[in-house]
Amino acid sequence: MDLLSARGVHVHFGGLRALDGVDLSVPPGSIYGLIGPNGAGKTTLFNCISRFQPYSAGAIHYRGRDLGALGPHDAMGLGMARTFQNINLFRSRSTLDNILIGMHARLGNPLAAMLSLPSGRRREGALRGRARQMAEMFGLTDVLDQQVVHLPFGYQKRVELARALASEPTLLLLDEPVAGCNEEETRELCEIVRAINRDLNVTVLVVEHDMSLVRAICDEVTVLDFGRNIARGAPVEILNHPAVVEAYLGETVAPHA
Amino acid sequence: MSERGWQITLTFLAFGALLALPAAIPSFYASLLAFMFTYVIAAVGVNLLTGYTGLVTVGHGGFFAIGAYTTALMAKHLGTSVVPGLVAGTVLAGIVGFGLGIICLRLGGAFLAIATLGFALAVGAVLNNWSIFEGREGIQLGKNSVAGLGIKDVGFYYVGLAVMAIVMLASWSIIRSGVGRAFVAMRDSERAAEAMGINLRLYKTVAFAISAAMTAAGGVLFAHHNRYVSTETFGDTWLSVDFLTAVVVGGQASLFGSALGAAFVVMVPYYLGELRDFAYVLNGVALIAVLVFAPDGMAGVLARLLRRVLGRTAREVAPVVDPVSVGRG
Repeated sequence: MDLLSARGVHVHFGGLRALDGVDLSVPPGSIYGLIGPNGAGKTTLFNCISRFQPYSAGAIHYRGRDLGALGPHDAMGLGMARTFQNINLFRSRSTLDNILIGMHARLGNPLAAMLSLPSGRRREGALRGRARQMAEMFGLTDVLDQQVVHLPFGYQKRVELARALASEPTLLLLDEPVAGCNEEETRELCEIVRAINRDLNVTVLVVEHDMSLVRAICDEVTVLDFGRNIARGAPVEILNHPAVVEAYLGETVAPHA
Repeated sequence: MSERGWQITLTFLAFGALLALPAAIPSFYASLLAFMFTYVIAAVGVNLLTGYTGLVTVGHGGFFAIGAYTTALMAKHLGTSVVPGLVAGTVLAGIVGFGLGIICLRLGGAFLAIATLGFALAVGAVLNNWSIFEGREGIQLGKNSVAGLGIKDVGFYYVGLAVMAIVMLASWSIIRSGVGRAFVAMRDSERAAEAMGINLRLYKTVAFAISAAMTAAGGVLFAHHNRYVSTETFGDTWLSVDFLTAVVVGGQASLFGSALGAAFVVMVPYYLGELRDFAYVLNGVALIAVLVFAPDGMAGVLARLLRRVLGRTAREVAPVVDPVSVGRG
């Protein structure tokens, strides 16, 4: 059964049909790509899944559960974690605090935490230990106590990933993870995402513009254009698919793009 | 010693000094300091909401008034004193704070400031016009006592110190917990906070409720300190403005800053004596100076000085607070 599935999702912004009956199904264990030209509705669908955007018709199921009535803060508790297109960190906080906030869903009894009761302190200790492990995994141990706003771009990207994975999700939603990255950083990020998928056994749904990333890491992709599905399949087939080539006409689909 | 070690040591030293102080000063000054404690308590409450959670309030004078009038009415009709007033005042203000939090959920920035200002004005209007509150006539409170024992200036000083310590300890415990991290997360980025699983509605209203309850504790003590409440004090919004000034001038998101700021807004008019109205001008100047030159307030400036004294090189010292995230006061 699919980990995540969307059927006939509609989103209208006034007269504009941002999503016009879109389908999506993400099998467990995969790295799944959601691509399309500008304005195709990728990010809108992404936001529907992460519950930041309500939809007017259709249904989205995660592990067989209907997401329709849930809010953005419910997604994390279900085992979905997301990143943002432009890095969205808690800027005044340290790397460690950012990762700890990512574990909010595992806080336990908030009253025990607030009052520093023994059970709350034990939980806090466990969370901190786990956060340090996450930081180590992402090469962030050196900057654990630094304010994230002062970190270089590449570090901030990794903090965001570590924060998203801190809650040990089963599905990781990445919104244009290599936006603003140079070639070197893109390669590094591809490695990290593959490692997350393989070693942590996390299913990844990635919305992306960058075809080199899609080709490098995605097992399967769905292509949207003008709020509709136009193709689905393995990256290599898809990039030569006539409808996809047409949708991208005017944009380069060459390997370096 | 680590920076955290210094913080804890200095905190204990400060409280130790405050414990010993009444032996060394005339009881009149003990009374003045107890008055200041009520402002510190209120400012710590405001700081939790405005400094840490990023929700600017210009209405906490309303919660201060709820605390003060709750205990005043109880004293008048039931003959109670400080402790029952503290319990009832904080609980009632917490409930009202929760309600105001719900009403203000969708507001932020200047809109929230205006809405909370409206709350303070509404409380003032109720106090002025509903006869049980006695308007400008005011309500007299009897002699103060705790557990049946009468207390005077020095005794009241220790009651104020104890309540201040409890409120600060509670605030500190909340701030360093996952709940406090969630408050700060909402301040830094609501969208990211939601994506981390933080229920904005719940956490904002809870922040409002706790903050209101703390501020009301200050109001309860204020009423017993003066043994008199009237709309002369509670009928307008100056208390609310004083608390916000204390938090911003003292240093947002700093408990020590709230204490410094409260001392500033209490002591400046006191030492100005006849010229006390001039204090509003000084407060305004201090606000602008802090926002322009030291967004992290007096506490931030002192922390930087302390680091310099401790002999760290400038290179090692990271900026304490990011001006962008706190400049919203």
